[in-house]
Amino acid sequence: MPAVQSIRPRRDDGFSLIELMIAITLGMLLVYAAMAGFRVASQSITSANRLAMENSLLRAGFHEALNEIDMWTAYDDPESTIAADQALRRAQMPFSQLPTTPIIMASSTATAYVYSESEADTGWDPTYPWPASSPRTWWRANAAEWHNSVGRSGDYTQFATIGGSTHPWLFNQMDMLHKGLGYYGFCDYLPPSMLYAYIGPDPNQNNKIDMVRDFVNAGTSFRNGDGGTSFAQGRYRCTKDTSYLLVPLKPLGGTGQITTGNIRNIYSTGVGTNEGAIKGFMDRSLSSRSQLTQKPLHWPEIKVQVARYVSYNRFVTLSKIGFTNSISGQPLELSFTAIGTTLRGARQQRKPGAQGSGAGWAKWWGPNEIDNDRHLDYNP
Amino acid sequence: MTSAHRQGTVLIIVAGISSLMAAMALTFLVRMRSDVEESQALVREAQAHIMKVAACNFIMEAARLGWDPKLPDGSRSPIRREGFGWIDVRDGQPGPRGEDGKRLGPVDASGSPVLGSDGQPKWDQWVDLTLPDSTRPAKRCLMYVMQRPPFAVSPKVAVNAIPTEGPDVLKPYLSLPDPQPFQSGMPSAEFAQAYISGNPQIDNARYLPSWFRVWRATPASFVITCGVGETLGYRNWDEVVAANETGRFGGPTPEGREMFYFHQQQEVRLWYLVEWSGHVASSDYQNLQNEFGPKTVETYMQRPINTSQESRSQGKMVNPVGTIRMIQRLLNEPRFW
Repeated sequence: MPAVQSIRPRRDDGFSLIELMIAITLGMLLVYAAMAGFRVASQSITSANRLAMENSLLRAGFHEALNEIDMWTAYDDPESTIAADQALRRAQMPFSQLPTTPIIMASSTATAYVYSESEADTGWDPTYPWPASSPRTWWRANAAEWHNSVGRSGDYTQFATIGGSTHPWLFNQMDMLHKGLGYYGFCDYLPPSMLYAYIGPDPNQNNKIDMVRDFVNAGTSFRNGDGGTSFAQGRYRCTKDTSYLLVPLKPLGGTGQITTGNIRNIYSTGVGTNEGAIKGFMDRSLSSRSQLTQKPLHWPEIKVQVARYVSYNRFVTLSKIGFTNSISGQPLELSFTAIGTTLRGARQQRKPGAQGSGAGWAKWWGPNEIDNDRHLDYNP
Repeated sequence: MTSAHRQGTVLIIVAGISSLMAAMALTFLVRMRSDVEESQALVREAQAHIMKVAACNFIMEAARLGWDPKLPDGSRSPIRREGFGWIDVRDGQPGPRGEDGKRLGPVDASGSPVLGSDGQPKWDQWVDLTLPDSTRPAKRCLMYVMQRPPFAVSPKVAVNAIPTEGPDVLKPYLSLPDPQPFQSGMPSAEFAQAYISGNPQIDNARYLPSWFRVWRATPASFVITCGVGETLGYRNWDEVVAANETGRFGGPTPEGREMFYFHQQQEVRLWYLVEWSGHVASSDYQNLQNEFGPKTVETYMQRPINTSQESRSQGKMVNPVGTIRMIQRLLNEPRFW
């Protein structure tokens, strides 16, 4: 009979309690270290993603700002079928239809361009370059005269007046432009060497034929009060310490700011201004269009704003890009000015059409191409 | 569990964690790279807008400046010529024309104007409106950063700083011309020529292939194309071949042509229609109460432009060579540019 085999377990058949405790402890340390490493890495990825998203939004905002400088969609969205998106096409607003004139296409010859211009022309001609040598572009009035003149230095209405004079063209243009587009458009369309006043029937003087008061009297709706000087001035003097502005579709101060009066006013923005005046200026001129209307809550709020105004004879396009960090709440803003499409250029980019028509963008193929689209400045 | 089993388990855990972290690191790097690429695209777009400003400056200056005769060997003659605008302010004819009313354009080896079939001096082709739209070329301008541009001046602000010690302490001498030419350690004998010609080599550290083209549409309006990309402003392969520049793209082969159009697809191009005007700034008057009050002494007094003694006239006038009166971003590629 075989001897009974011992059934004592071998030492390596299992764990002792101490071994188990040590193993569990080491295992927990290992898992903790792994988890900590993973958590740190994960947080880093989250932070990197967040920063990357903020950078992406900033880039998108900058791209949008660059686009807006050239496309003016904060002022007129030509593809929209919502009337409010073309609110500035109303009469006397910057995107309204100007009176048209038979276009004076220059006739090209082998050696010269000839413009068949006439003092009797009315309306805007987008192809006419206002040559400095052309007599009809010359300002003909007494530069020392104000409204209600006694004519001590002569009767200048004989030279140039809206209506019965020998040179009515320039003053007709000036009358049409400020009435049609507002003061910013008045400055945008006229050559920079112009004196911004003209002789015509003045509604403030019972339609007396005179130097129109708003353009010569200090502190009226066009002329600032600089020095109390009341006479025709150039664009620099007219915008020294004061500005003319455009009101966007969604101004900071609300759509109630879109009035024909607000774009025919002077705003104190330079020496002698105050906080209230600047706030009023920004309420009217700064757009407040939201870029991400349906963003997730944890995304930062991004905004792209633009303001356009004339100041010190400079046409300013002020762009602001900003967002608020959704975790820290820290605001970040980048602002810059740039040169881009002018008001006249923006009007030439747009097909004519009533508010909400969604008329679209006008194409231009070349100076002599027959398939160029009509636009807000050319719609015979 | 044997020791070998335990070692294997640890290895698997460590390998798993490592691969997890490696994957996250890779994701991070890919994300960063993607960000950089997107940023580069934006930088190029912003640079294209800067080219728009450069092109406008070129149009304004070329209305009057830069028409000194350039001899066929590339040197400039000492004769200075001045234009009177793209539409001549004297008679309304297309310019630029010189003091004698004649066209400013190329000269022959002797420095005399090259004459056209009408016996009058010719314009450069890109200026010449008598050429049909379809054959009138554009002016192509490269805008890379040079090592040192011609006539570069030193950025030093206080050239004649008042000394705070020494024999001339606190004496405000204006002993040196201000600004100073940019110095780069060259011998004085070579200095003058080096100052004039600069070093037009590309500054590779700041290289961004920027360019613009100007195509004259009418006497005073121009199509400008603003670009950032390796085509260097050539519109198509035919232009590259005509300019004998195929070497930039790998040679006059189908592969070179393919390379050119590959670059064209990558680059940013913006088109604008702009209008130049010979009008600059107004002369502002100062007529105190003009013809009425007792202060009639100043009637018709005129404030000169760029006056420095007071603020009621425009200082720092920016457009002495004409004005860009209208800018229109074009929404489509025009037929001629």
